[in-house]
Amino acid sequence: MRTLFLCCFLLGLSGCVRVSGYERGYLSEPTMQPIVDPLEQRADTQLHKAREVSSGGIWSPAGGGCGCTN
Amino acid sequence: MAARTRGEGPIGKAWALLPLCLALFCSDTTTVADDTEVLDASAREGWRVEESRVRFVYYDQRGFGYQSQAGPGPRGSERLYVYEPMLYLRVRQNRRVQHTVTLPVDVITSASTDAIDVMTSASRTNEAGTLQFDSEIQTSADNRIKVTYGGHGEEWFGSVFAGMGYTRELAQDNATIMVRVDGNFDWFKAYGPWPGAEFPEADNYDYRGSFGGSAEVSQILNPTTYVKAGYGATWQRGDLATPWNSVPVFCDDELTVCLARVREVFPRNRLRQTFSGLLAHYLPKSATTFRLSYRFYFDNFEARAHTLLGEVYQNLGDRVLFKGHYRMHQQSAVYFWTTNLGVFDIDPNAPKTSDSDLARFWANEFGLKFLFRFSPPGRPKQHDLDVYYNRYSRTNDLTVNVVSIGYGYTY
Repeated sequence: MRTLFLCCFLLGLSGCVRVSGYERGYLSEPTMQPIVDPLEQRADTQLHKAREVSSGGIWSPAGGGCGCTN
Repeated sequence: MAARTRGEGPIGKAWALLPLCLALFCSDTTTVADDTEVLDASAREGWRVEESRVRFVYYDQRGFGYQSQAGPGPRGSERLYVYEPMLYLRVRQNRRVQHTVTLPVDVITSASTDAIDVMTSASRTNEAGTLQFDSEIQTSADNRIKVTYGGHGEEWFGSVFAGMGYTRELAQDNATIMVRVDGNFDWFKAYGPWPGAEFPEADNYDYRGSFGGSAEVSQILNPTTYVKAGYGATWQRGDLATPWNSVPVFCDDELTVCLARVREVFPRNRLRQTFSGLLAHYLPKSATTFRLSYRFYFDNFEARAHTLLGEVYQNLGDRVLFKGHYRMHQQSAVYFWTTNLGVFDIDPNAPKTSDSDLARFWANEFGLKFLFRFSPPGRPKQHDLDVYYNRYSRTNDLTVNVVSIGYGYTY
């Protein structure tokens, strides 16, 4: 129930915030992108997926295979 | 031995055509909404590479775990090194269609810490390779489709995977929703006494598959801040155990001597779920970016995990970018985790594992990174070089030091 409320709350936010295109300069900074460096993120995922019960990167859903490499 | 990438059979070839068909379909489409006419005008631009990156990562792991046989007692060594070169290419086909290719290769020493399974001797070095293609297609000004497919191969293990996602921009691009489905199929050689088998079978291939879905919402809060939240679930079926992991049997009370080891056994179905969130904020005055991520994981093996990640990016002038991060992870053990199977617990079909990765522990990680740009921001043809160091340590005796160097070129 709490999760559902959170989802509705986040969806609802879209109706009350409007940032125009010309105001998004800071949001387009490379460090503000969801994936800043694809290979670094891949290396991080590699480090964690074979050593923790919750395999998969922090953004991916729960992992697929066993993560048998390293 | 050269790295092998599997999944290049008829199925793999058929998958290779899927994004191509979508790409051709999209580049020739003229019956889209009015707001995409500008996109149509430039859709005939030729192929060009927009970004290329290479990275070399070195992992140095030390520690001990009950699943490893590389030691005199129940807790064997988990010492290993990994050398991982990686290649990344971003190619634009036209204004609507963009492809990325990612190719990491792992060379792992002592991959299975002195034994590939309970019965046979060591495979001291293993090579693994993954080839992943992502194609993103802008079907209209507000809609995108992303197709992912590829394969993974290593010694006695092959895997193919594919997925598709749909993204829609809402409220003049202030909000985004994304849904995605993914699947993968693994096949591998499983040595050792087969659970329930009368005699050990030494040359079996076994299989597992998984199917997952995820949904994500992101929202701009102001000109310097946005948030993102997501949910994902993956259902796995098949032999989910790691063939070379073992479980100590008949140990003494102090866990110093054990009489035998058996192969680990997992339930054949697993449902894994996650909730995740991200907050990113940019400070214009100091050119600093703060990022805070959280992830909650739970599955039907009764494992629970919380992961918190904080990152700071600081521009030091035009040419240098510093990144620091701290990550904290806490997890509970799966319900069938054990360090000592007793006489009456040795049912070959009963789930059991001693894998230290599935135990209860806390993990801490910190990292430092410096990125050097060879030309000022805003100019075309950017070169950059970065180096980073990460240290990952767990409360159940495992430490990994990671050193990496990367080079990128934006055309």
